[in-house]
Formats: sequence, structure tokens, C-alpha cells
Amino acid sequence: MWCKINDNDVVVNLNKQSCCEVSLAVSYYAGVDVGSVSCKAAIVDASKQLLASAIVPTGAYCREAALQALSAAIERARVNPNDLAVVVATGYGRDNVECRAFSVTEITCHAVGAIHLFPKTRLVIDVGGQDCKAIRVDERGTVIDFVMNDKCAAGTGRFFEVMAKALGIELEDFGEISLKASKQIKLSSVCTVFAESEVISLIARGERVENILLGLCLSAAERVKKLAQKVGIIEEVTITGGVARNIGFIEALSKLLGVRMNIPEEPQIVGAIGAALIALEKSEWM
Amino acid sequence: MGAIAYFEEIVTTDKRIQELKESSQTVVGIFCNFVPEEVIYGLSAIPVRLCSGDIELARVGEEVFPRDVCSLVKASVGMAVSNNPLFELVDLVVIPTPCDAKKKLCSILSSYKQVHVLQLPPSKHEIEAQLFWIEQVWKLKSELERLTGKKLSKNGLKDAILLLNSRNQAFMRLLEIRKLIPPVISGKEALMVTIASFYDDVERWIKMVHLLCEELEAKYNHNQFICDNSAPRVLIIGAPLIYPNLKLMDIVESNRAIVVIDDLCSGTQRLYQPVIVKEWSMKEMIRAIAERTLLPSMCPCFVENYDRINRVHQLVEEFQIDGVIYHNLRICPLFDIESALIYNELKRRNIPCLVLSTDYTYEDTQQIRNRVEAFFEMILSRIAGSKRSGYTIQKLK
Repeated sequence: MWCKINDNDVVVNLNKQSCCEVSLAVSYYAGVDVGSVSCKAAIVDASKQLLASAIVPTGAYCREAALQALSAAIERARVNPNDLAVVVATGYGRDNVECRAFSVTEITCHAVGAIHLFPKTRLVIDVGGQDCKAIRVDERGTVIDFVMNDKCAAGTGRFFEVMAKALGIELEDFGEISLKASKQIKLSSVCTVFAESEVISLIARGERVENILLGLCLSAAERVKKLAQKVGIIEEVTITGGVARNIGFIEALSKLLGVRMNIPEEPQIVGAIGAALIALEKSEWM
Repeated sequence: MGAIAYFEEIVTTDKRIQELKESSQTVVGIFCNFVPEEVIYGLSAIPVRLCSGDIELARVGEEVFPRDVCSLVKASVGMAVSNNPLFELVDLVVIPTPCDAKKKLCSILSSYKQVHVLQLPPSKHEIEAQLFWIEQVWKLKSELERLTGKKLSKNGLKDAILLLNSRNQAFMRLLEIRKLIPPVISGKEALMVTIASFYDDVERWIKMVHLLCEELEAKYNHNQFICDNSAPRVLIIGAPLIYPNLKLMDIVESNRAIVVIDDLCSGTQRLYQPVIVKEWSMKEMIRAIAERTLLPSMCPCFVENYDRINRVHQLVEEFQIDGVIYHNLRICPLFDIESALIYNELKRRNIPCLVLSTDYTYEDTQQIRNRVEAFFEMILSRIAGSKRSGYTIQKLK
């Protein structure tokens, strides 16, 4: 079963020459990011060009999901799997990717990916399914410092997922709906469990859904801001991870940080791109 | 049997408990790093440190103590509640009062054992605080004299001081070996040595540490290193790591890094300072012992702790540290508050620092591992090539 892959989400950039040529010298590099919610794979060529990517839900079998993501990306890139020179795995399930040459943490991968997409990036904010992190990088893309949230799920993808469910809306529509808010509600809790009960009492009070959604975006953004402050807020800021697709959250965070943020076309695959680029870099002395 | 295996045996088996059971000496249970062991040895009694890292004991402790108390104190309560064999052995428990949980621990434990409370001053540098602490040591002396039915003699105390100073010397010899690059002893092994000193026979412990040092020196001279010199050299500071809670140590050292030194009250802080006596009068000895237990302490319970950052910096320099890991014990606000101060100060001095909050449970192992791995990736990219090549490897005499 190929999981839902939205064609618009995938950048297919076929290098005609390398496809047609029956050359032995063509090599590709893949990164697989096994996250808590979804597995991402990206394939780059020797010139750091992104050929294709794929995203599949992780589910309970991350080993299989990782392979699915990788084969989907290979298929989309129309490359011969034998030409994959190096596969680098990242994400919390990285050690389950059997075909990996080695593993790198998602902190390093997000930094490398973000710097590649936006070379002036100095702060990367990654908000994923179960954690969020703030990463300071220097001009070479080297991590100088990073902090991650505590083990609780406040302000992560999980937080938005639970709240969307409590409010009976689709996660994809979260940001759009929140932009229609007519007033700002301040939520007192950022804890996923307590915020859910707070949301339920707000519904009972008759608050409008869009207002509650905006309140939730603000409270998650508040939390991420505190994290970013620890390492220092410095431009340019690039945001990665699935939650970057929530426009309500992005606007709230942007306002709180007082900076404009770089948003990648596909924020979820930045870690996988970083892994693929590390595969390319390391292959030079492997 | 190698010396390390000996220390592991002391820590992980009931060998020592059996020995203590068979001996007729008075056994005094102590908590923290503040109890002056010299006074106990001076009266021919034996101190055993009861601080525990056992998650099971912490769970038992939760039946009596509130959930929102740190694992360390809950495990101490658990010891009493579950008839722990070490706890059963002691004739008196001495508890210092660094934090609220420890203060309340006194009243809980007093329904199981005779308890003596050592009141800690809120500051350690003010003269009034130091005088107050000296008074506390005198009080402990009287209490122990009552317990043992003996009078502490000048010679008895002097011998105890000399004995523990020779323990300090043995420990310092081991610390010198830990400075070597590449390393010959892991942080986990070294921690086993200090934790064994919690309850081991002190003379045997000293003898075994010297034996260990000889073994390690031989290893170094035969190039038997435990890793090469590219492994990140780590300093662990913050809340104590106590057997069997070695989660953090295991994670760090399974990631091709090496803990070359710590500044934990369960580790280096416990043994690195000798008692410095100016003359062998009772008054001066008590003063010197009080000084030894108060001033070197890096416990965040004191109002001012500016010497801590200097101590950390000194260790970073002496042991050629690549990164500092600050261990926060969950629910301990003192360590938590100081972590921000230390983190910011180290950052200012361009020393990589990772703050980790955890407790005795294993549920967050993966998250901790992830942070630690990323931290080492960061360190390795910082030091790539440059600094290491400058290291010189000198042979031991």
C-alpha cells in the first residue's frame, strides 16, 4: 500500500542528462527521516539538487514505513535504486532504517537542510510531531547550540492534533480557520492534557471555534518562543517540521518573535533533505 | 579479580551488608555530602551513606510521600518503608537539611529510626553561617557520643582525620589518571569507585583505589586505552547520579564519548577536599572538619554559589573538557534554577553545555539519547581536526 502522497507536495526535478546517459558515474544520495508521525525521504544528486521526496505515515511499523518512503521517493525521482550511493537515516526511528550507511540526529539534519534552502539561516525552529527544537547555526551550517522541549507535548504537532479533534475540525484546516478569529482568547495552560479540558470548557461557554483556535496557536507560539529565547533569537529564522504548515501558528510566532520567518515549500522534508546532503558530503570521504 | 570488579561487587551485591551485619560496630546512616564522617570514625562507628538511585524504592516511597517530590528523597523514604537491609542495619540516621524534601524526610524517618538533624545554614560564605555550622558539628559529636557511650578523644579524631585524608589522597591519585588522553577508565567505572566509598570499609577501599591506579597506569603505559582520543571528553555536573540510576552515564558513554570527570555530590565533590588542620586541638579539628564539609560543597541549596562556575571552569581546563552535561533531577527546583545560570555563563565562555532534565524512570531514555547524540555531533563538528592534534600524550613514570 502506497500511502497518500500529494503530487503537489513533491518537487520532481528530473535531470534529463543523467537519466538518459548510461553512465556508471551517476550516484544519488538519500535521506530518510523517521519521525513520530510521518516518515520522510528525500533524494539529491551530486550537485545537491533535490530530485524527489515522499512522505508516508509512520504508524506502528517504522521499519516498513521508512522503506515505503524511500521507495516512493526513488520511484518519483525515476532513478535506479542501485545508483543510491549512500543512505543516511535520521529522526527518532533512525536506527530502524536497515539500508542506512549511518545515522545522524534530526538536530544536525534540520540545520543542514535549512541552511541549504535558506543560506542566511542562523536560527532553525523545528516543530515536529512530538517535540520542538530551536537550533542555532553558524554560516557553515554547523550547530552552535540547541534546546529541545521537555518530554511533554506542549506546542508540538501532537498538541494541535489533539485540539483539532476536540474541536471537531480537520488538522489541515486549523490555521486557516484560526485566521478568521474575531477576538483573542488567552489560554492559561500549554499542557496538552489540561489545554484540552480548557478547550472543552471554552466550547461549553459558547466561544467560537476560530477564536479558540487562535488562542491555541498563540499559546503554542508562546511556548516555542521561550525555547528559542534560550538559544537566542537571531535572523534569519527558518521554520521546519509539519507544524510549519499551520499558517495561524506561523503568524502568531512571527509576531511574537518580531521577525519574518523563512518557510520552506515543504517544511516536513527539511530533515530528510539535510540527511541526504550529509550522505552526499560524507560520501566524499567514505 | 581486577580492582574495578571489586568496586562493582561492593556496589551491586550484598557483600558489604553481610560484613556490617557480622560486625559489632555502631553503624550510622547518613544522607548528602554534609555529614562529617571523621566524627563518626573517631568514635569507632561506621558511616554508610543511604542516598539511593533505586526507582523501585522511589515507587514505594510514593506511598508515603507526595508524588511531586524528587526521586532521590522518595527512594530514601522507600528504604525505610520497604525494610531495606542497609537501612535496617543503622543505629542512627543523620540528615542534613539542604532542601524542603530533606527537611520533611527527617520527620518521616523518625518513625522508623532514631534521627539526628544537621541544620544547614542558608549561606556558606558568611561568617555567621560558618559559626552556625561549626556548632552543628559539635552537636553531632555530642549526639554520637550519647549513641556510642564513648567520649571522642583528641587522638581518636586525629586518627580519623588522617585516615580520611589518606582516602582523599588515593582519590586524587585516581583523578590525575583521569586527566590522561586517551583515557584508561570510563566515567561509569570511576563512579562505581566513589559510590563504593558510600559504605565500603574505608581502609580496604583506599588499598583498592591504589591497586586500581597501578592497574590503570600499567594500561596507559601499554597503550590499552578504552577509546581513542577523538572521543568527546565530557564533564557531568548537577544532581547526583547514584547506583543503580546510571541511565545518563550509560547513554553518554554508549555514544562514543567519555565522562572524564564529574562534579556531583555522589562523585568527585564527595572526596576531592582534605581536612586541613592547623593544630591538633579538638576545637581546631572540629572547625577544620566543618570547613571541609561546608565550603567545597557545590549544592545549589546555598544562597550564593558563585564559586561553582569557577569550579566548573577549572575542571573544564584541567581535564580538557569538550562539553558539559548538566543533570537536572526532576522536581528539584534548586538544580533547575541553577541550570539556567550555569548554562548562560558557560555559553558566554564558549563552553558547550547541554541541560538534561530526567529522573529515575526509563520512559525518557530515547529522548535523552537523542539530545546527547545531537550534542556530540555538535561538539565533534566544533573540534573537528583542530584541537585534538594539539594534545600531547606523555608516558607515565
